[in-house]
Amino acid sequence: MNSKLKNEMIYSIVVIVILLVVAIINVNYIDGHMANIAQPENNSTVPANSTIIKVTGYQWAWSFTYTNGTTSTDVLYAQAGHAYTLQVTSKDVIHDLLIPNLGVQVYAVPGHPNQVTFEPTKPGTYIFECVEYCGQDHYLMRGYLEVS
Amino acid sequence: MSTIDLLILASVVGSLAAVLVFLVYYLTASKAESMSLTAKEEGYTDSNAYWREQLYGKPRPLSWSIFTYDDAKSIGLRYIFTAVLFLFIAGAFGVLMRVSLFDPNPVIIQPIIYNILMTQHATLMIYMFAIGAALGFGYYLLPSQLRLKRDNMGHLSSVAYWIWVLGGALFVLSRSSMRWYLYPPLSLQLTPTGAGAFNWLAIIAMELIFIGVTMASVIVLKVIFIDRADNIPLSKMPVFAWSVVFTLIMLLSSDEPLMVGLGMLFYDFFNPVFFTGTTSTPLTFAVLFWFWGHPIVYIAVIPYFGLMYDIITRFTKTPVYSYFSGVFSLGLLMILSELVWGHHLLNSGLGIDWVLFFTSASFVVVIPSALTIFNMIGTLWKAEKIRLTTPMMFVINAILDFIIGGVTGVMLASQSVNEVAHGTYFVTAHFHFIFVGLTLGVTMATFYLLYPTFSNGRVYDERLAKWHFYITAFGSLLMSTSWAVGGYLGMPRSVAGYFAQFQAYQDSAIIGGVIIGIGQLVFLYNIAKSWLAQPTTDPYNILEYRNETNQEIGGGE
Amino acid sequence: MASNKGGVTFAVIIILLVSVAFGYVLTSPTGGGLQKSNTPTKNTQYINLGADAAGWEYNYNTSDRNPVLNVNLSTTVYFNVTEMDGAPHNLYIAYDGSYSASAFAKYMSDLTTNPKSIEGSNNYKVLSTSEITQTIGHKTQGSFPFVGSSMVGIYTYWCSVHYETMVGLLIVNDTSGSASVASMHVYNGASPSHVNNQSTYSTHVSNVLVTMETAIKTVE
Repeated sequence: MNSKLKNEMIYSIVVIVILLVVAIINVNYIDGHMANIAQPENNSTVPANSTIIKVTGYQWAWSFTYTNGTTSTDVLYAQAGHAYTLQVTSKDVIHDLLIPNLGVQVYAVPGHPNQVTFEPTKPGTYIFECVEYCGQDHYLMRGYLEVS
Repeated sequence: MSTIDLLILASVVGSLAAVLVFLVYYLTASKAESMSLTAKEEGYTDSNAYWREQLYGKPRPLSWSIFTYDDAKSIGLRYIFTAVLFLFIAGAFGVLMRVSLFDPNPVIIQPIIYNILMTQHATLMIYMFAIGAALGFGYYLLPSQLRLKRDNMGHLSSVAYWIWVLGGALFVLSRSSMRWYLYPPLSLQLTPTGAGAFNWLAIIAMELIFIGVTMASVIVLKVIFIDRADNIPLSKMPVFAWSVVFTLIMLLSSDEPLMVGLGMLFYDFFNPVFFTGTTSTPLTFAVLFWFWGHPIVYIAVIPYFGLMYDIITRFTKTPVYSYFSGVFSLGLLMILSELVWGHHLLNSGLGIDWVLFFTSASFVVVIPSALTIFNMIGTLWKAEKIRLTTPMMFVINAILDFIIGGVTGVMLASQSVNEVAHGTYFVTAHFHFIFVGLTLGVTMATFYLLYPTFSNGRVYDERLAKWHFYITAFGSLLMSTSWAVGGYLGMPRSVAGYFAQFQAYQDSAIIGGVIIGIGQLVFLYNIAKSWLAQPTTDPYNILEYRNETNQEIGGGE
Repeated sequence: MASNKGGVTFAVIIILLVSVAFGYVLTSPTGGGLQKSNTPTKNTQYINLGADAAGWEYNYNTSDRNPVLNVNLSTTVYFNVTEMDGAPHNLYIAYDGSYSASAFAKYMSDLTTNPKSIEGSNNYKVLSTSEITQTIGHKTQGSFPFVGSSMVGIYTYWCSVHYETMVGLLIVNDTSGSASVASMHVYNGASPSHVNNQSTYSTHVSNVLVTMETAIKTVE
C-alpha cells in the first residue's frame, strides 16, 4: 500500500465516519419526531392530545379553521404548551407553509392533504410564510402566529 | 391589445425574422459554395472532409465563420459564446432582481416583473449557461485532447445547437413567470398573475432546449467513445473527458421523465387530466421534475470538476493526485445523484419512510464530492510550485466555495434543518456558493486560458483579470453568506417583498450581487480592450495539444 | 478574426442583446389596465355562474340570466364558472365608473341596445377560453380582489365570445358608506332586456341553422 492510497483511505474513512454520525443523528431525529414531519393526512396518526386545525392555502392567503368552527385569515392563534395538528390543503396551486421559528414546514397540495404536528412552548408572535412560489403575490402570503 | 393589432405585430415580427433567416441562409450558402469550390480545386470531392483536415489540430479563433463551419471546434465556439451571452442576459436579470429587493415592499418593479425575472434568471442560467458552456468546452477541447480520428456529425451538431438557441430565445419571449420548477397548477394558469399569458410557449421552449441538448449529448458521447484516437485508451483520457462522459450519461438517463412530463403538461392546457385531474395530484409532476431536476445541478458541476483537474495539473505541472479515485468519485457522483431527488420534496408528504431514505442517501452522495475535493487539494499539496495567475485563482476559489456550499448542503440533507431552511434563502445560498464560485468561476478560468486561442494570439490584461477575480469572489461570498444567515432565520426565497426584519440580510446581499455584476463588466471590458491589441503570443494553449508534442495526457502517473 | 474588433463586437452584441432582453421583460404586461391589488383581503364571496351562450346563469339557474351582482368592498370575489353548453367562453371584468343611479340606468339600457359599448378598455381577464374548457359540466374558478376605495363603482362582466348575450353588471359597494346601493339585490333575469337578448340570440342561431341547411342542400 503506497502512501497516496493510505492517505486517501484515511481521509475517506474520516469522511464516512463523520457522515455516519450525522446520519445517525438524523435517523434518530426522524424516529423521535415522526408527527412533526409533514406526512399525508391521516386522522388515525394524529397524536391523541393534539387539536386539529384545518389550513387552506389559496392565492394569496392562508385560512385557518379551528375545531369550534371559527376561521382566521393570515393569522394563526395557538396556546403555549398545547399540541396542534395542522391539516393542510390548497384550493388552487401548490403552497408551502413554513413557521421558521418552530421548524414547521408542510406543503399545501391540491388533492393531497398533508398534516404536521407542532407544540409551541413559548408565548409570543412568530412569523409564518409561504415558501413555494405560487404566483404574483406569493410574497404577501404570510402572516403571524400568535401564541398566548 | 386587440386581435388585429396582435396579428399586425405578429406579421411584422414574422417578416423581419424571415428576412433575417434568409440573410443568414444566404451567407451560409454562399460561404458553403465557395468552400466547396476551394475543396474541388484541391482535388477533394467531399468539401467537409477537406476543411476538417485543414482545421484538424489547429487552434480555432473566433470569427463569424463559426456559424458556417460544422467542425467540432466551431460548434464548441458557438456553444461557449452563446453560453456567455446568456450568462450576461440572465446575470443582468439577477442583478435587477437583487436591486429591487432593497426595500421590504416592491417599490422598483412590480411583483409580476420580479417573478418573470426570477424565472428567466434561473432557467437561462441552468439550461443556457451551465449546460451550454459544458457542452461548448466538450466540443472545443475534446477533439484535440482525444486527437479525433474523424469528425463527421457536424451537421447534426449544428442542428442541435440551433434548436437549443431557439429554445432559449423562445423562453425569453414567453415572459414566463412559473419559476424553473414549473409545478403544474401554477404553470397551467395562463394569466399574468399566474404563470404568464404565454406560458405554453415556455413549455415548448423547454422541450426544444431538451431536444437540442439531448442530440448534442449523444454526439459528444459518440465522439468520446468511437472517434477517439486509437493510441488513447479510456484509462488515459483526461479527467475532463471522463467528467463529460459521466455528465452526459447522467443527462441522457434522467431527462426523459421531464420531457414526458412537459408533454403531459402541455396536454393539460387543453384537457387537464394528468396533473390536475381527480386521479392524480400535482406532486406527480414534482416527482417527474426532480428526477431530472436533481441530476441537473450535478450537470452544472461535474464537467467543471473535470476542467478544474485539467487546469490544476497544467498550473502545477503535477499529475492528478490519484487519477483513479478522481474518475471513480465522479462516476460515483453520477450514480448516487440519481437516487437523492426526493430531498427536494421532503416536506411535501412523501411519507416518513421515503424521508428516511432520501435524507440518508443525501449523506452518501457527499462522499464522492469530498473525495474529489481531497484529490484536488492533494494535487495542490504535492505541487512544488503553483503558477498563481487568474485561472488558477478562480480554481482555488472554486474549491473553497465548493467546500462551503457542500457543508451547507449536508446541513440541508438533515431533516431537522430541512424543516426550517427548505424554501428559504439558505438553499439559495447553498447553490449560489457552488454556481457562482464553481460553475461561473471555472468557466471564467477556462475562458481566460483559452483567450489567446479564441483571439488568435492576443493576451488578456492580467491586472483587469485579477480585479475581475477579486470582485467576483468577494461579491459571491458576501451575497451568499448574507443569504445563508438570513435564510437560516426564515427569510423565504423567490419573493418580491419580505418581512422588514430581514432587510439587513437582503441589503448586504444586494451589495454582493451588484459587486458580482460589476465584476462581469470588468471581464467584458477586458475582452474588448485586449482584443484591440496586436497578437503577441502563440495561439496554442495549454489546454490544447500540438500534434507534434506527445505530452502525457490527464493524470496517468 | 482578421481585424482587432472581435472582442468589441462580442461586447457590443452582448450589451445590445442584454438591453433588448431587459426591455422586453420590463415592458411585459402586468395584467392590463385593471389590476389585482397586492393586498390580500379577509373577506371572500363566491358567485356561481353557468357559462351558456344564451347568457350567464346565476347559480346555474337557466331562468336567472345575466344577473346584476352586488359585492362589498375589501372582498375577493371568486367566480365559480361551469361550462353549460360546450361553446368556448371566457370571463372579463371591466371598470365602468363610479356608481350613480343615472349611470346605472344608462348601463342597464346599454345592456339591451349596445352591449359592446359598455365594455371598458380597462379590463381584466378573470378566466380564459382555455380555462373554461368546452367540456359540459367542467367547473373552474377565477378570482378578483376588490380593495381600496377607488374600486367602488360599476363593473361589466362579459364573455368576449358571446358579448351580445353574455354580459351583465357587477356593483362594488362601499359598505361603510351609502346604504342606497346595498339595497339592490341580484337582478332577476325576467326583465325585458334579457328577453330581448335571448331573442336576438335565438334569431341568430336560427339564421345560422338556415344558412347551414341551405349550404348542405347546395352540396347535395
